[in-house]
Order: sequence, then structure tokens, then C-alpha cells
Amino acid sequence: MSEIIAGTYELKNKIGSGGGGVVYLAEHLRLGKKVVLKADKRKITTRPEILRREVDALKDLKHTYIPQVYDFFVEDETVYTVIDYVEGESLDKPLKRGEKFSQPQVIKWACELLEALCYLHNPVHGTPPKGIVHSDIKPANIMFKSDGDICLIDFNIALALGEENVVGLSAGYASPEQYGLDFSTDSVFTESSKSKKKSTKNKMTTVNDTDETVAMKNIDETKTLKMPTSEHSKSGSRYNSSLKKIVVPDARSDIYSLGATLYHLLSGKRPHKNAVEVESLSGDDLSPLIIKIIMKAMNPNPDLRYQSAEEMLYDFTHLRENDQRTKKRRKIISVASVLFSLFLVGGTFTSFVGLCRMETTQKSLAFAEYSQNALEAGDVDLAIKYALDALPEESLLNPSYTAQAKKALADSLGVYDLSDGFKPHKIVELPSETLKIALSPDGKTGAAVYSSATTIFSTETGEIMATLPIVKSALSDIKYVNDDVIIYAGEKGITAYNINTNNEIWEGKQATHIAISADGQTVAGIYRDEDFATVYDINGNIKATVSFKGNKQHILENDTFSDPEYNLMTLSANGQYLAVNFENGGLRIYDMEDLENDIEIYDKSDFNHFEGGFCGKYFAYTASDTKGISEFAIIDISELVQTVGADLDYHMDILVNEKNIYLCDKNTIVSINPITGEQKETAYTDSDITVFANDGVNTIAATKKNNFVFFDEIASKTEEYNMGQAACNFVDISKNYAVAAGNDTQVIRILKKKQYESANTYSYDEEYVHDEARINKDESKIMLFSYKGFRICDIDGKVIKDVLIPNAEKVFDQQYIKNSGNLAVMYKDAFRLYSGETGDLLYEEEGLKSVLYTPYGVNIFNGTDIKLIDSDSGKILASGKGSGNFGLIAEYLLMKNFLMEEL
Amino acid sequence: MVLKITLPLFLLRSVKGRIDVMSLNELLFYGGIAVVVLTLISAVIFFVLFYVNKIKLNAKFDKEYGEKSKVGKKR
Repeated sequence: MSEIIAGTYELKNKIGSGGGGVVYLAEHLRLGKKVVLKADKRKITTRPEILRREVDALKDLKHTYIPQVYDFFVEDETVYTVIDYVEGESLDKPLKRGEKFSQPQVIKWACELLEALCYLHNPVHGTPPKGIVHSDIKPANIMFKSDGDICLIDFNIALALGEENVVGLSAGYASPEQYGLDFSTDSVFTESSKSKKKSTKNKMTTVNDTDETVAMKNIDETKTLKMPTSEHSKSGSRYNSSLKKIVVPDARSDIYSLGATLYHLLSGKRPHKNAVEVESLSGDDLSPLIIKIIMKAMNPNPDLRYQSAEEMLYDFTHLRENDQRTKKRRKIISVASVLFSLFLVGGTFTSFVGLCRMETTQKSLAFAEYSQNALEAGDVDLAIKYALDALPEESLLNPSYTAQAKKALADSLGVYDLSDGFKPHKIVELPSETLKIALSPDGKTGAAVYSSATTIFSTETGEIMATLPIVKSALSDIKYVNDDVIIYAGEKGITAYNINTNNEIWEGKQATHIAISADGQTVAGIYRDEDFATVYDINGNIKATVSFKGNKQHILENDTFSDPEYNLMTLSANGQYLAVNFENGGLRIYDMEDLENDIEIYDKSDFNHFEGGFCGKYFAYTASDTKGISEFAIIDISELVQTVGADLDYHMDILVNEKNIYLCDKNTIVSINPITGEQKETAYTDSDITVFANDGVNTIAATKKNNFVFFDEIASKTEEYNMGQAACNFVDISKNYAVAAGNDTQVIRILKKKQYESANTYSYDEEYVHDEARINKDESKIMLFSYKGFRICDIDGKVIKDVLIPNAEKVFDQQYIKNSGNLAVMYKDAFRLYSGETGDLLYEEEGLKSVLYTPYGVNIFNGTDIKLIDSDSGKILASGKGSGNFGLIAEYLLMKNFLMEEL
Repeated sequence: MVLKITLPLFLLRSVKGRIDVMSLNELLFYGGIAVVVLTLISAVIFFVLFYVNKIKLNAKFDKEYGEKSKVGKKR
């Protein structure tokens, strides 16, 4: 064939034919381009100008998957459409060969077809702008190109123009509405539609079931295949004059046709031409999601299909996201993320809470220790402050109070310590370590020597009253003459100082070692290793100068390190005798009244450590050498007779005052009768005593364990305190005050004797588990109780009775009755009253509706009767019937009743 | 084959002893840290396994739905 059409195109060969006409392969004579000419002999009724406009619109269609329309003309009553030639094979051919396509392949084509439909359906084409429905999508109209893509062909221009007599149907691919069937949701013409369905069905039987698009003839409905305009309903249906609904195919029809096409491509079977009879896709190689998409597209009800190509394309391009497996994964990862986050946050928070609590506990323990240290140092105020700091406010971040903190507070407040005795009172802090301390006879002031001065302080307030410069020597001495006057080794000379007036009374020659007679009238002083002593009267007048005839006391080259306790210089009570030891081991007693006749105890010896003093007419001393060999003796000065003596192989400390002679033998202190030598124990410790003091009543002794211990007049230990790390080298005690210090600490601890005359102390076994402890009214018995049980003890702690409370877990309240010492135990449905004297059960009742403790007794209600039980005797005070708000009413009525009975 | 794990005896003793003296505060602190560490380890293991699973699933998807780059818009 070589026919020329429109003088432009040469027909090459016929490539197809169908209900709409014949399709030729042609060649543009001038351009030499291959084109497809579709010759349609159906009559066109559209006016020429509209025709041209529509053609122009179609010629503007440009899409990868739609062949270009070049021209449209009429010649010899035949409508020719010039379309781009697409090289390839239509998909119906491989289907006819029995081929099936893979799902991924079909998905790819579906997307391409949908993109084409999105483009076509978009109402932007032509004037006025509108969308274009293909209306004949089927495998035969889809070209499979060599590059693997597809092309949607056979775009019928006449159909696009809305020519009314050119509606085409392809069985199995055409949507129900193309058959005039209306399955839409709002269809009110179902019957008529059905009847029409029948009629059309009859006509359908004449439809060719091949792939050809067959024109519908003699159809009552007038159809248009344009996208619905404003004249049409949403479903694209309109109504004819007889009010019969006419279903007009729209974009959803294309959706149906596409779905049917995909159905065929995947299953290899053309879907049933009746949409309601289409079998659902199935197969192991088909994904449920794909089946779902296609079946939705092929829903007979256009309202239930995809409403646009975009919707269907979206589902195809989001298959992975919408896949159940992906959704399941997302769910798992969401749950896992939440769980991990919760655990991370929870773990971090828990760790943070634990850390805060650990820090708080450490702080609490530290403060508790500080409190205890402060208390031992005698600073009660500071101890209380630290103890309170050790008790943080309870919260989630702060643990409950530590036992140490509670104890610190209790100790610092002295809550449980109402015993009489010496208690830490104050502390005095010196500028440097203590070298010596002494208390006034009344104990109200103290004096402490440190490196360069003497401090006078108040034992009551701990305040420094005066600081007095002294000879810079470890030998510098201080001695109280009386409560107001102190003699000290002043920088310029031995000085008498009045504490009250803050004045120097007199000043003498330089002295380091000082002695004062018991009557306070004579003062003696030796300066370092001078070979004489100067004796003064109380007014500072020199009474005598006692020459030692070249003998000197033993001191070190640098007397900063000398131990003043190694040298003895002491005056007798009336100042007549002065006892002095010398570095050659000599010990002599000088008589002020006859200095030429001194009493020689030792002329020379190996002893280098002397201690002693005068007790009345007796002189008692100990003398030790470097090997520990010692002698102890008591000498009657008037008779010059030794009354008591002993040779020892270890040193013993001795303390002599006007009233007593005390000897310390390791961990025991005894007082010795100077006549008979009889010993009486004054103190006994569990470790060796290093230094001690006695005021005639109480004894304070420091031990090697850095403790200092108090004893009363009958040698009973009353208190014991610890110096901590510091050793206790200096102690003194006088009346109601005591002091303790160490030569490696600057702190002087002041203790004060406290007496609680009105307080009684009761003791009991602390091992018994209890929540509360009460003493009865006559203070004869103690009750220790908790919800689990109670114990009655006498005041000495002897157990009278132990009682276990039945059903302790159900107890909700307990009340101790002060008058009788009874214990009332309230349950929700029971009541028990126990005797505080014997522990016996005084009253018991169970099966109660309510139990109410009142100051007048215990109200119990068993559902019908109310009773008021006397908490002291267990007797029924009043009873009656009750109901309603029985508690208040009963209390009132029974109170009234009770009072009336009283009257 | 049974895998036996034995701790040195001294270690068991030391752990036991440590727990005996551990207070609630320390339990909270170390317990919290242990929870965080275990959670992190579990999270790492979980996400590694999850990632491997994702790769396998993507391969399945590629087989069922085609490779992702080919399923898309092309105008």
C-alpha cells in the first residue's frame, strides 16, 4: 500500500483494527518520521471550531508514558488521528502466549500507568481546563517498550471529545459504570439500575468478549466520558429528564480498568466482566498488599475504589511502608525504644538517687562524728549543731536518719543522760600545745601554760580572762594561792596575779619552778638550774634565800624539752620546810628556821626522777632512775623516821596534798595512811594510768588509751571519756570542775559536775524490741511495748511479765494509760485491755464493728450495742443501743451518761 | 556440649561479702548503673539485630516489590 493521506502521510502498513477503526503505520513525507494513523469512520458531530480546540488540547499532552498526539484531521469523512509511533509489543500478546509477569515488574508498570493517569486526569488540559479520562485501559492498549517501560496508547480522540456515539467497552476491563451499572453508595436507583443492568446485560451479551473495544449501541442513557463538570454529581452521574440516574464513567473507571489490567497481568486470567463476580486474586507469589490494592481498584462501588490515580499511585509507591512486616517492625522498634528509654532513665535516676543518698549518708556520718568529737570536747552547742546537721530532711534523695546521727543528737541533747557526774561542758583552745594546767581551789577558774604565756580562763564560760607572759621554758610553773590569786613564772620574774582585779600583786626574781605552802603564806621559786631558791612571803617579800651549795636541779641544755615533773620542789603546809632534789640524785629538805640543818634524804643517788610532797608532818616521795628502779617512802619530818617505804622495779606516780598521799601503781590509785601504810583503793582503770588528780572527793585519771576516767569517793567509776587521737597528759579536778589536756593538743576540755536531783534513772534490757517505753504513775514499773507485745519491768529492770499481743498485724492503735499503767490495744474489729501491773488481760472483745479510744474510756460497738470500757479497770462504764454515726453520738451519749452517773 | 562457667572461688566470696555489707543506697547506685549498662548493651545488640533484620527484609521487599529506585516517579 502506498496511500497518501492529507498530502502528508504515507500509509505504510496496517498494524491493527478494532471497533473504533483501523490503525496504520505511516510516514511523514517531509520529516520521514514514523507515525501511527488511526482512521475512525464514525461520524463526528462536534463543530469544527470546538474540534480544533480539543485537538489542540490533546496535542499538548506530553508525558513519558503517553504517546504524543501530533494532529487530527478529517478526510473523506474519516477522522484521522496522528500519534507518535511506539515501538514495542502490546501486553496482550504475551498474555495470549500464556505468559505471566512477575509482581515487581507489574508494580513498576502500575506506577508508570498511574503516573500517566495522574497526568491525564489532572484538570489542566484545554480551554476550559479539564481532565481527560482514557476509558479503555487494557493490556492491548499498553505497549511494552524495549527499554522496559510501558506506554499507554490508543487514546481515542473521539472519546476525549465526548462524542456520544463512540463509547467503547472491553469486557473484563471496563468498569461497571461503563455498562451503566451503578453500585455507588448513594445509589437510589438500584432497582432501576438493576433493571437497566438487565437490559444492558442483555446488550452485554452481544458484547464481544475479545480484547476489542466494542461500541455500545441503543443505550438509553446518554453517556459522556469527560471528567465530571459542575453539571454532574460527584460520582459523575447525571439525571435524564425522566429522572433516571445515569452513571457517567470518570477517573474511577480508569482506576477500575487499570486494576483489571493488573489483575490480568499478575494472574494470567482476564477478570470476569461482571465486577461483582470477579474472583479475588490469590497466590503464594502475590503479596497481600498488592492483592488488596488491585481488589480495591476493582471494587464495583466506585465510591469504595481509589478516588484518584494519585491515591492508587501513593499506595504503590509506599508498599514497603504499608507492608505488615514494616508496620510490625515499627511497632517493635517503638516499643523497644520506649522500654530502653524507660530503663535508661530509670537506671540513671535510680543511680542518681543512690548517689545522693550515699553522699547524704556520708555527710550524716561525718557530722555525727563531728558532733561526738565536739561533745567530748565539751562544746555542747556545737555538738547539737553538728548533730542536727547530721539529720537531713527526709526525702527520696535523703535516706532515713542513720543510727549514728540519732545517737549523736541524743547524746548532745543529753536526752537519755540524766545521770549525775562530770559532763563535757566547754573547751578552751590555746594558741599552741598545752604544757601545764591547774584549777583554782573552787574550780571556777583555770590556768594553762603554753609556749609563751599563761592563759587564765573561766571554767563556767570557757572564756579567756587573761593572758600572762611567762618565761619561755617548759619548766615554767603556775600555782594557785587561793581562788583569786595565782603565782606564775612571769617573764620578768615570779609574779603574783589577782584574777578578779586583773592586776599584778607583786613581782620577784626570775623563777621557773614554783612551790606554795598549803597555808598560802609562803612562796618559793627556783630559776632553771640555779643553785638556790628564793622564798617569799605572800606579799612578795623575800623571806629567805636557800642555797643549795652548788647543787642544781636536773634540766636539759634546752629546757624547752625538759620535763618539769622530773624535779621536785615543794613546801610544807606552813612553809617551814622546802624539799628539793638535785641532778646528782640528791634529795634534801631545808628548814627555813634553820637553813644550816637541812635533812638529807639522799646525798647522791642514781635517781633522776623525783615526785612527792608534804602531808602534814609527813614527807612522801618516789624516786626513780632511768632503769625504772624506784623507791617510795613516807618520812615523819618531826621524828625523821620513815614510816612507810618500798623498793620497786618500776616508777610509781605520787600525789601528795595536805590531806592525803596517793600512789599510782600502773592501773590502780591508792591512798596510803602515812602512819600505818594502809592502802585504800581510790581508782581502778583497765589500762595504765599516766597522770591523775584528786580534790579530796573525786579522782580523775588519764590512761594510756587516751581516756580520762572519773571516780567518786568510793572509787566507783562514774564517767569515762576519750581524747581521741590526742594523749591525755594533764588533768586536774576541783570541786565541780575538771580539766583535761594533752601536750600534743591545743584544746583544753572542761567538764562540769551535773546533778539531776529530781531525775530518777531506770534501766532495762535494751535487747527487748520495743517502740515505746513508759513509766507508770507511781514510778514503780516500766512498760516496754510495741504492736507485737509488751514487757513489764520493775525499776531495776527485772522482768515481771512478757506478753505477746495476738493478731499483731491487725492492731491499728495502742494507748498507754498513765494512771493505771494499762495498755489498750485497738483493732478494727476487736479490743483488748492489759493490766500494767501484772500484764493480765483485763478486757477482751472481738467481732466489733468499730473501736474508738477516748479520754473517758474506749468505745466499742458490736453492731447493736455500744459500750464504754474504763481504761484503768476494764469495767463497763456504760452501755446502750447505737446506730448511725455511732462514734460521735455514742461518745456524746455515753459521756452524758457517764457524767450523769458521776453526778 | 555443656558450657560450664565457673568463677574463681575467691571472687564469689568477695562478691558475696560485698553484697552483704552493701546498703540500700549502694544498691540503688550500683544497681542503677548496672541497669543503664545492661540497657545500653541490650540496646546495641537489639539494634544490631534489628539492622540485620532490616537488611534481610529490604532484600525480601526488593524481591517482592522490585528495587526501590525503580518504583517511583518518572515524568
